[in-house]
Amino acid sequence: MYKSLYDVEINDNPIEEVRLTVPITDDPTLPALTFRTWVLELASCCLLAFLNKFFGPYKSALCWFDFGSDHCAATLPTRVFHVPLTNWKFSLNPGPFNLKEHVLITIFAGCGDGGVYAVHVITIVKVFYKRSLHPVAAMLLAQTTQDSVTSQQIGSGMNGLGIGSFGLDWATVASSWEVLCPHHCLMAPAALSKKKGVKSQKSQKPLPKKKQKKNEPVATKRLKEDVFSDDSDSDIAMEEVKAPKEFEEAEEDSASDAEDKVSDSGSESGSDSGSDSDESDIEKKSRAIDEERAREEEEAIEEMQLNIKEESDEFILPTEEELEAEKQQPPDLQNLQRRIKEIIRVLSNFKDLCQKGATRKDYIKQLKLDLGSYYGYNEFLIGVLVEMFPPVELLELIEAFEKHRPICLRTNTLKTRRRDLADVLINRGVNLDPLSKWSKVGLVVYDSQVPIGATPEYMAGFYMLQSASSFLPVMALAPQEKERIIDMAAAPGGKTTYIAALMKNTGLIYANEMKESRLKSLTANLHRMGVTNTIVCNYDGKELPKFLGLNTVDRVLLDAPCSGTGVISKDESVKTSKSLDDIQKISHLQKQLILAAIDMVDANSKSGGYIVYSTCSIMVPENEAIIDYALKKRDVKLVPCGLDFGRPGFVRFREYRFHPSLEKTRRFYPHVHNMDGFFVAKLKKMSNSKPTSTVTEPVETVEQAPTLDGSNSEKKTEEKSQQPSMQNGTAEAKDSKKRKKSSLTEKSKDKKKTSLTEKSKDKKKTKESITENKDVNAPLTVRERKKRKFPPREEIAKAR
Amino acid sequence: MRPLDEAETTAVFEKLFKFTGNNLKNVVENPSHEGPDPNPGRYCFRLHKNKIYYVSESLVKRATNVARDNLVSLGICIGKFTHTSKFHLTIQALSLVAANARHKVWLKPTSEMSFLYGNHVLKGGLGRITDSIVPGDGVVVFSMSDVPLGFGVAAKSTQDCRKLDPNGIVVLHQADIGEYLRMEDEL
Repeated sequence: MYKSLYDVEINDNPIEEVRLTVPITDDPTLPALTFRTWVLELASCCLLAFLNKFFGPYKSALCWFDFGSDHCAATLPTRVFHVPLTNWKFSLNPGPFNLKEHVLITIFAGCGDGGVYAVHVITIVKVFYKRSLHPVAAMLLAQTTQDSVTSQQIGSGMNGLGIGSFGLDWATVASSWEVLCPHHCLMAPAALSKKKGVKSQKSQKPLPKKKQKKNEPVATKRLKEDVFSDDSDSDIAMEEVKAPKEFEEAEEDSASDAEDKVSDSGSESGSDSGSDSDESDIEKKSRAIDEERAREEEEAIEEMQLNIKEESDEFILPTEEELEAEKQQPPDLQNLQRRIKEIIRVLSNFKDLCQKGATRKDYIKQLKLDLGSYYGYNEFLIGVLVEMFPPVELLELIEAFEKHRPICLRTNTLKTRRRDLADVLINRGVNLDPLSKWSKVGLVVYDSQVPIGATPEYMAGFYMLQSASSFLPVMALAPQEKERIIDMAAAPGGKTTYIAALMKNTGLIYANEMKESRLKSLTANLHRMGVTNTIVCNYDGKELPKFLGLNTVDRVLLDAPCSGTGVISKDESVKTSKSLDDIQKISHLQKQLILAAIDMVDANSKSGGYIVYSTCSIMVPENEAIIDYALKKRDVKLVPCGLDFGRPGFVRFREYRFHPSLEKTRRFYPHVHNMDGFFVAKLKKMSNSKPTSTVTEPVETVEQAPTLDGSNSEKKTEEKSQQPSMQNGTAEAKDSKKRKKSSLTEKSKDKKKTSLTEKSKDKKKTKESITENKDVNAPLTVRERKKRKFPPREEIAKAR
Repeated sequence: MRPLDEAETTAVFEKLFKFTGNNLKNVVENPSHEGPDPNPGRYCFRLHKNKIYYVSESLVKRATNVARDNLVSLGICIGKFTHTSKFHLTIQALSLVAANARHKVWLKPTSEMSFLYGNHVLKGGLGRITDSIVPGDGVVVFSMSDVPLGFGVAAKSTQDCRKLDPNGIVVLHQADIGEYLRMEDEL
């Protein structure tokens, strides 16, 4: 009754081509598992697998595997091999290649072919979904979904055990028949190949249609719905690879397609219809997703706008409570910085951005507090800086103070030239450049492999480490050869050595330093640099005129002791240690020093008569105020420094009003000129007299100066020209009341002056001479010069 | 500040003679351009607080009004007298001595730094050496680029130097320019 497949004697295969060509019995004599079979199987399986995976996306390479087999049948030797120690023997070529062998080889090779689908899964995961897939997971995926016998066992469990493999075999067997017996019609294999093609088409769909990203999940969803899926397959696969569930199920589906041949046709048709409806669904879905994306973007932009608006309108000064709370906690630096920037922004456009009810003063007060706590300044100093600079520049200045200025060095022209020195230093590994176009001896050092202060060239005195700002007062002073120069605050000797280099070791320099501890470095530097024309002395600068004489030298350089607010980048303690008292004390000292400096200069010197005053500070009470004081107290005039870069000094500042010529002084800032904060002023002494009242400044003119004072020889000639009526006694007594600072030489000069005074008194009325004094008219002065050869100061004293 | 007396003058000149030999007259008679006078004056030696200064006459004149306690330095200091009245030349005399030196030694670049740290000159570091050096002579040490590095006393004659092994001392160190950094306080 039942026909089993195994005791059949009639070939009742429903497919005609198969029935005609395939025998229903097996010929047991044909050698099946021959050696060559195994070899060819393995070789072609591996080769095919490799080729398919390599060329997988493009075509199926089933046709490749069988080329080798006939070739082998013809060529392999027929020798019989004996495996040693066993009874087995085999031959490479036991006869012509038979059908069984072909079948086996094909099946084996086909296994290699079958792995393509799993690779598609992995490809799609990586390319479309752009998710990474761990190689182990990928391997497992490939293993379980691969169309191989072993994977079917794993994947399908008990259910697919016999049926799955059987079904699969039919697929590969049938396809192999197709190749081997090409004359039979393509019906059955065509169906299979169509299925395969569909499968491959489905799996190849994502790759050519990469742009339509939506299609693949949609397509796979469809497949899932249409085709009955094997749960066990999908379960295990899902455990291993979580992300593209749809893909796995699709692959499972395609694998499970092979299981049930009956469902194949159903799946084909289902999948065909599914693909048609897929496309319209895909389009709809992609449009929907596009629209959603556009909407999201718009919303994001709107939100951003909203945020910006909120920020710009809503900067509020912190209230009292907030400030109290802040004080309790450690300072929040980011918050402080943000607030500083905000306040500066508001202050720069106060009308538009200010908060209602808040005055400019409130903002500035808050800014001072914030700057002080963020950068570490005390209240006094930050208050001064805020008064001097607009907010944006203030921040730049403060930031510049936080950084160091570049290291500079000055070539010692007594011993070498800048170019030679630069070559030698570059050979040692120092990275340097010329300083600027305003200096011919300066070099700036960016970095160095050797310590720049300890090279043999340094020790031989070829250069001096000096900041760029220290070049400026000496350049302003412009000492000439064979002049007499005083440097009143010389240590550590950078400027003194520069002066000596400019003078080429001629002339004479007095280098004075008050602090004994700094004298050693001064002398060492002088000797090291090869300076021979210097006398080093240790006096208090205020008393220097007593020892070195009044009106004796050609030029004086006064680099005054100061608060050091311009060199905060070198010494941070200045930020917190200076107070109003300090500034007042220092400015008092500076006033005394500058008067002493002026007194020592000889106004009648042939090539000189200049005083240069410089400080490394940016505060007005130490700079412009001192110069203004000097202008009032002595007969001096401001002249241009010769430094054309640098900002002009202040002519008015808050409550101060200075002489208009103060715009000839120069100020240097770290954030503008990239050197330390500095102030330089150059004064020319017009005459050696010291006016006791403040109105006398316009009185003394240049024309009068040479005739009033001068060397002793001049006085002698004048004396001779005049009637020698000496009334020394009374004149001397009167003079000594006024002159407290005069030295012996001065007294002797005074005697001569007073003699002249007496003569003139006899000749002219005093009042008349005073008015004529004040008159700056040239012809009058010429006449006066001829008649009265004495300083008008004497006249004024007499007049009183 | 006062001029040197007989004993001091002989001590100083003896020392200088070791280095300069017959060039000593150049030292003494060198015309000096220092000072504000248009005519070059001459140099002289002065003693101030146990230090000897080689200074131009015009400078000396103008330094007289500086008080003794307050005067620190004049011109160049070439040496000092010790407690036992011996005269030592210091490194500041180098420029004077190097200009008039009779015996010179040039060092290889590799051994420059060693000498500048205060070590003696070894045979292995010797680049060039002038002839006719007698042991005990003053020798001025130069680098290969003719920069004076210091001075010392010869330990061996020129002939003996050639036979010496590389670690033998050729010049005993007396002063070098590294002292400006190492011993600034003692100068």
